[in-house]
Amino acid sequence: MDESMLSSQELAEERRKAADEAAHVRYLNPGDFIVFEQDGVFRLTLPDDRTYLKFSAYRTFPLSMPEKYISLRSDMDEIGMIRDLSDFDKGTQQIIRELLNRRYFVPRVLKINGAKERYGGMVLDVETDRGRKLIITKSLHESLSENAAGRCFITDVEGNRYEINMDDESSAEVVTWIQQRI
Amino acid sequence: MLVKEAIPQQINDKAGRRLDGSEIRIAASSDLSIDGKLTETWLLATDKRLVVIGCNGQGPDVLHDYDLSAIKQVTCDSQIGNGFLDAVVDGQTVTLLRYSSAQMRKFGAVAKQLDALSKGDEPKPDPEALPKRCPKCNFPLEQDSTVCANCTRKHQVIIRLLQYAKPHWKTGLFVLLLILGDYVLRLLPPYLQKVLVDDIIIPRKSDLLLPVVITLASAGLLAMFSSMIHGRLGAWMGSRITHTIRMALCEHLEKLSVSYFDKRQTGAVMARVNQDTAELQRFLADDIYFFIGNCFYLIGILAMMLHLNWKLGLVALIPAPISAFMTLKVMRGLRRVWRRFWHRRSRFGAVLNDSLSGVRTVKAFAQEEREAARLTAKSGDLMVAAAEAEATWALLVPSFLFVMGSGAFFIWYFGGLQVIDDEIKLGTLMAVLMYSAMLAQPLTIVIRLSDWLGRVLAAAERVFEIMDTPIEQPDEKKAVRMPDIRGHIEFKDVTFGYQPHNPVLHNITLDVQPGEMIGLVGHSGAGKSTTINLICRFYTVQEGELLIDGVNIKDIHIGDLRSQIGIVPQEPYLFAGTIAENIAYSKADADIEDIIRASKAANAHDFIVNFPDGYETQVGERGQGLSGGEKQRIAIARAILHDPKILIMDEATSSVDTETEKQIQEALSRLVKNRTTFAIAHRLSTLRNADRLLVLDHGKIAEMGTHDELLEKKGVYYKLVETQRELAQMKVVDG
Ligand SMILES: Nc1ncnc2c1ncn2[C@@H]1O[C@H](COP(=O)(O)OP(=O)(O)O)[C@@H](O)[C@H]1O
Repeated sequence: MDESMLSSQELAEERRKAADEAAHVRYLNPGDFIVFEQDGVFRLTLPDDRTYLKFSAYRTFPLSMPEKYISLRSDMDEIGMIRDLSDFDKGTQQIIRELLNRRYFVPRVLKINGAKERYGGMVLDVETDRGRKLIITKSLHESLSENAAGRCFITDVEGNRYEINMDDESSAEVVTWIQQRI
Repeated sequence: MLVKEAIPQQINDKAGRRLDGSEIRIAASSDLSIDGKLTETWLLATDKRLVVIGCNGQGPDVLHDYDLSAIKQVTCDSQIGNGFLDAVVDGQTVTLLRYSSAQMRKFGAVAKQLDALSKGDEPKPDPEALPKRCPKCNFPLEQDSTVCANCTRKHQVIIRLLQYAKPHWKTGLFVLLLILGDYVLRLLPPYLQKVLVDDIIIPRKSDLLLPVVITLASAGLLAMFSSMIHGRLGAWMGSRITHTIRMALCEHLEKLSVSYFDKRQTGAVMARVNQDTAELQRFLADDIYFFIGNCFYLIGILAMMLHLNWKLGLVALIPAPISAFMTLKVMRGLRRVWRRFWHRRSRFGAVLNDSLSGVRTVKAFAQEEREAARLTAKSGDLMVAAAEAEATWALLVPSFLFVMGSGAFFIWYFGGLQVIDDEIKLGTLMAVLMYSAMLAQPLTIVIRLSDWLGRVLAAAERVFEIMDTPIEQPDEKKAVRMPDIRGHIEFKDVTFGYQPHNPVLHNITLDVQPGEMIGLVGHSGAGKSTTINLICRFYTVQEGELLIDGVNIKDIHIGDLRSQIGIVPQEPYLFAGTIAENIAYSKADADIEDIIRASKAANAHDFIVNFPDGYETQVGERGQGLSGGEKQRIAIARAILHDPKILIMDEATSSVDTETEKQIQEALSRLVKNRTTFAIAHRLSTLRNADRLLVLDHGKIAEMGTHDELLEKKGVYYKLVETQRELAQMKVVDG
């Protein structure tokens, strides 16, 4: 057998390395960067002293992993990804959480106080984690969307989106009620 | 008008002192606090000052108060589901307020107007900035809709439906009379049977027997014929009405703008056209007569029973309240389980469709088993729902029937007593029994009326909703007719976004002379297709102007414009039909020689005649598959035949072999001659041929000039070409 021949495992390893290199995903670990606030904006500094004047945090899996695999970005470019926010110190966590909070606004409907069908759409009186709201939807079938993981969203007539807490029995009931009417 | 909403007293009081009484220019409310709570925040600005007032629990609270001169640059920071209004104040970035997506448009305008105010300029008004609400009920309206879903009340829907029925009123009346006759005849048998028993058989009067039996038989026969006739007529009339509605709907759909379809899935729109009109059809052609007939029937049965013996008649009604109650409950319960069944069935269908449509991908990745498992799982869900539905049915229906039929027990008992006491005759008792048995059907149907009507009205409403959506050019008569466009295209400071608050083209200014060829170059997502979409007026320019031969494109008659624009898309769409039909799509009256000439010019003739069926080869959905290069040349032939003044070309990125490439290039160069051409160009040969290249970068014009000029400049274009060259070399090495 030829010496230079690689086993299939070694080949697989090589292929993975090549793919990683090509993909250039840069994972940032605790200590790889510092974040701080200055003049009302958050900044991020890397050890090589590069400072990003305005950076933001995007979720890569906003539904299933809100605090994992977060992409730190400066405009269109990715500065790096962090695997798990809980690995970082409190101060960093707080700033990144604040950034995530700014970016994602999907109020969660905790409880549906009342629902009625009105002219093809719905009027829902709901309690959200951000306060009380009267959600008005246009038509039933265009306003309710479910994803594969069973998460349920409702879009109102003005284009705002709310997630419905399916653990709450009365809410789940309303959703079922809507589904039956679609 | 600047953005100015009605300011609540509380807020006005709070702001009054700070703004020292000068005129408020901008007043805008947001629905969020900075920390994302659903409470109001107000922004008020005069020519001099800006205050932001929040309403957190304990009344209004001044959050920001600045001199406008200290403010530089106000911007919107759009995020997911919400956005922020930021300003640079004394060199620091300050977030003025936060708003939900519903208000992005409004604060986009506020940002611009504030910016202008702070610079001391006169801000530009934006009439579209405030979310529109129905003037009657304050219900928010959709972006480009003027009908209020809230205000189109149910009875209006009924009136509209009736209007479609109006031309058929004579037939309708006739049908109604027939139904009346039909059900009156059905009331006859029990009564005649009473006569038979009481007056003929028991007193043994044989001479009357035959005439009564013949009457009985003819009543049945007449009822049958009348039922046949009104059934036929009704079905015909209902189908006609539905057809009229469906026609109006389809016609309207075709006239809706591209953006309408952007926002909706084609499947959902199709489902509406199909299912909702089917629902109307079922109702208008069938259910409605059934229902009206049963109303008559119910009244008739009650009248007959009470007439025969009012005491027994009332006894027969004893279980009626219970059965009415059960009908409502049982039907609701049944509907729930059946709905779940239907829902799962359609999901199963969707998965099946998905998996079979993607069969190549499934096989290529050897995922047959996984797909089978996915289907099995869905089928299992379906089975559970079906079993549940059937089980509920099995449980509910017999008990329901029992309650419905329980009136008979009461009649037997009380009626029996009466017969024994000689108060009534046996025939009367039997007749009442028969009537009570007939009661079940009309009763259930009348009780379910509201449900039924609700469903039909919802379907009608959805159909009318589409019909009420404004079409692309509602005022065709006012549009400027331009039967002969020269092809002078001018962009004047055009800014455009698919969502108005999120522009993808910024301040595009460009002057293209008739006959000029412009190559559009840029990274993917740079805005090339968007530019083209605007020229085709698939979307309407929001800011700035787009002029064709000096006329604003908004005012040009859409038919005139489109008939003089030809498009060679990246992935040509071939309709089901022959190749010849596809080439002549834009010009149905083209004669055969025109079609052949166009194909020849498009270098398509030779491969077409090579097909066994030549120009009559079936293509499209079920037809013969064509290669990418062949489809492109058919599209070119289509464009040549169309003979447009303005040509839009979206060059395919996929590579074809050199010979085909040469043929396509040749065809294209024939096509672009003497037409104003916009080409999204990838191929070097096309880039070289263009009179000017427009290099877009993130929606802005980065560079403009000829191929050679831009190469010399060593800018964005130079880099793009270099990358392409490297890629090409890689291919050579790989190949
Ligand atoms: N129908 C649409 N609705 C919303 N955004 C769109 C739509 N079409 C394109 N876009 C967005 O507009 C931007 C420009 O796209 P496009 O003009 O297609 O770029 P190009 O043709 O240069 O690749 C992209 O960011 C794209 O995501």
